[in-house]
Amino acid sequence: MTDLTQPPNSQPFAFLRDVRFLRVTVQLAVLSVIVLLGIWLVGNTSEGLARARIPTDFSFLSQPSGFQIDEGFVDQPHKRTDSYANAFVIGLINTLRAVVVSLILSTLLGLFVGVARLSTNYLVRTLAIGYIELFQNTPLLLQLFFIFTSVLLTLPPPATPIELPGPSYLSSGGLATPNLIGGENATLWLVVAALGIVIGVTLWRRLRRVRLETGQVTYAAEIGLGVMLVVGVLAWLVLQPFSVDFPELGRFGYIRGKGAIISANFVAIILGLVLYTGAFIAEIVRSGIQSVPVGQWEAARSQGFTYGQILRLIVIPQALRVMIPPLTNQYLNLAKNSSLGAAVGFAEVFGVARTMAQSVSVVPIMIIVMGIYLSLSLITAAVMNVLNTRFQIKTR
Amino acid sequence: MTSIPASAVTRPPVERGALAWLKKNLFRTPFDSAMTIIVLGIGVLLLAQFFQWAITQAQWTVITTNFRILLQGTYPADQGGRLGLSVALITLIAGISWGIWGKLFRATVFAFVGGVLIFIIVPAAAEGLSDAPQGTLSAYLSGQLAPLFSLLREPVMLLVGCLLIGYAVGRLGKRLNRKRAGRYTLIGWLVLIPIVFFLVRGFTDADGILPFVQTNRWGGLLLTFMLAFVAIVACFPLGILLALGRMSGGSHTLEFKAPPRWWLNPLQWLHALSIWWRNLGNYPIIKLLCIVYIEFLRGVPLVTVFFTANLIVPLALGDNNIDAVLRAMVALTLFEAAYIAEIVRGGLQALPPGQLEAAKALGLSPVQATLFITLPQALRIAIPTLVGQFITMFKDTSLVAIISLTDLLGISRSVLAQNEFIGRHREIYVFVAIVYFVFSYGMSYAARQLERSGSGAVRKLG
Repeated sequence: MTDLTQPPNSQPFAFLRDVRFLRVTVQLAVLSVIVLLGIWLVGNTSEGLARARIPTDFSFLSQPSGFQIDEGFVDQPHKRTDSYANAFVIGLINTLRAVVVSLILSTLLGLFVGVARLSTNYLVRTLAIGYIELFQNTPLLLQLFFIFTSVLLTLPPPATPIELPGPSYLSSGGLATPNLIGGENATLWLVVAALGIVIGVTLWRRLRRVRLETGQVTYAAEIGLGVMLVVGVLAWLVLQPFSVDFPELGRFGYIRGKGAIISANFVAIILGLVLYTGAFIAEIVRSGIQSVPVGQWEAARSQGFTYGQILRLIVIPQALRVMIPPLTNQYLNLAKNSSLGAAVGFAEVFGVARTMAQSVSVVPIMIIVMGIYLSLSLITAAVMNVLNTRFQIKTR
Repeated sequence: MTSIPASAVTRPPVERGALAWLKKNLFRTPFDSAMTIIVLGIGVLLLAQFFQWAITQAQWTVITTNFRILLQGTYPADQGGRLGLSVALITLIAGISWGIWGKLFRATVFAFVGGVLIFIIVPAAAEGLSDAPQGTLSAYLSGQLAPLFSLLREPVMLLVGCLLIGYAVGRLGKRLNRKRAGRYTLIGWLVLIPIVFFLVRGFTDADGILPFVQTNRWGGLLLTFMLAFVAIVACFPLGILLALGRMSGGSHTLEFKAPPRWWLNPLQWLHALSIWWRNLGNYPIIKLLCIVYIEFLRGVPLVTVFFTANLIVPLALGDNNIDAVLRAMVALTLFEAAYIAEIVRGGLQALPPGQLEAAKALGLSPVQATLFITLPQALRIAIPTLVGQFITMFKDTSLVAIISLTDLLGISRSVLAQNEFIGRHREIYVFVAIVYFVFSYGMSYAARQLERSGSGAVRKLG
């Protein structure tokens, strides 16, 4: 018989069976194990680095890097005498350039293929499926290698390029197109054009509201777009803001500083990212469109909407709600995949870091690189979250 | 008003036949017809270009010469049988699983039979053409394509044969006792994975039964597979633990009702802090650690992880002898665990809360409720996404080429560096792409079948 007169808590080790105590203990144990592990690993690493006489501080950032980068908005943005910090900035600019361009293009491509994937036309549908399956089921790195070495580098050499209208030139050295050089009136023209756009948009929205309220035909889009165009073109004719700079061919290829020269490396990473991400976005678009109930299509058709109008006004806005979260994932993947540009010689953050790692300690470099990618991902995720809350159905 | 007699109301005739199909699928409207013609033009042009290149210009000797290197790297040639046995075992059990949980469609059978026939017919036909005069198409076919096909014949026949035998066994087992067959197959997978690993790696010295093969001699498709295999197996438990850690804590969230200008009152700060702390759940430290781990690894590219692991792991462990393959395996496992964790968490969140409540009401402890009630169902929900992630993982292994490991893609780069094959990019990349495509597509096809058969969904009552 147990003695029931004793109060239950009088046993000295009762707290061992207390859930609250156990939880705290378990957590502290886990924490201390992880902290100890961390101390051991960091200690080992710094000891190893010290033994190899590799500095681990960030003081190298202000020193000259000793390598040059040819890739960027201007010709040779980073010279041998520029600092390491400058090289990182140029790399980041290049990453952003690749990410922004391929983000826009891959969205357009994905939208197009996703709609084609649902076409009633057997051939269009099959071609879309073939494209999606091919690019989804092979690694991006392989696609990049293929595009770069087997497509772009097999073009004729820069001295004898393919001539395109423009005149533009396409060769294994990249694409050279005419470039616009801003004159003294360029800023003025930009201001006027921006003003024209503001006026056009305001008119457009005002007229559309009139149409929605009264049912009158107001030609909102036509007038709005017309105003923008007329203002822009007239101001252009009057101000002559830009002069055109044509690319020129020298004996050994394009002459630097003439026209806009887009390097083959940049073309390769853009093509690779766009084709790869486009295939995934197409599947997202397809499932988004399919998530809209068929009744919506039927109702719209019975109201006399055309196919394009149904897609644009009825289906896509509803599909967007389903599409945005997976689309966010794809954009994040795209930003991270841009680090593969290093494999085709495109000087983005990781590529620059890899070059640096030959002369400086990797620890600070990789901390900076990971920090850059992490903040890039977090910013993208934050922007897409805002979009997501904007597009969700508002319930009151 | 006259009523229409019932006999006059008939269904519009359903048009059948090839012409009706054409009209319905290709020439519905003028726009449709234009699209058809344009797409047909582009498609025919592309296909014609590709086949013209593949059949008359490509030099496939780059593949046939390096076939063994592409498949197994510098793995000792006399030990190749071990790899064959491993592949056979895995395909067999894959076939058994397919027989139990999947379905055999007629199209699949046709594809298999057609594929096998091609590999028998082409070399045989090439035999007949072998004395064709130089420079003709027939000479090219027998000289270039036939050796490639006859090299591929054995692996492909082995794969298909084992798959079909496994399928038959699986069907038989399913008919005998479905439940038991399923359980044994799962156990089979679990047992097979370490067996295959040790079969490939070996553990005895040079003259024993299974001589030890160092991991730096693994290469080509073998390395790709072993990386993906080890990473998939190892990241799965880690991912589940991370997901549970992130989900840990109570389901009740407390709301911080902020009075106006609460930030002026330090007591309110404490209140907000305590609410945040309690909202983190009952294991706030563990939860925080899991969140930091998951979000950090999901925010950085895999190449940077590989790169860092490659240079820092030997330093961090104070041991320079850890070979590069092991480093890559560790990096891939740690990286993918973060993604698996998020997928499993998605499955856990999709589970109706009633499941956990019912388990609690029945008196199951939290551990029991997780192990027997919520986790199995969550994993079942997550199967399609998990398979998608496994495919990604399989493709991601190609990134080890950047830290100069010789996986399938990496070794194809070293093959291209051989003097006699410089400039043969297209042939080798097309071959590598086909290999990746076959396995990725196979996995996604299997996942789709599993989804369609309903095994992936939560079982519903009634």
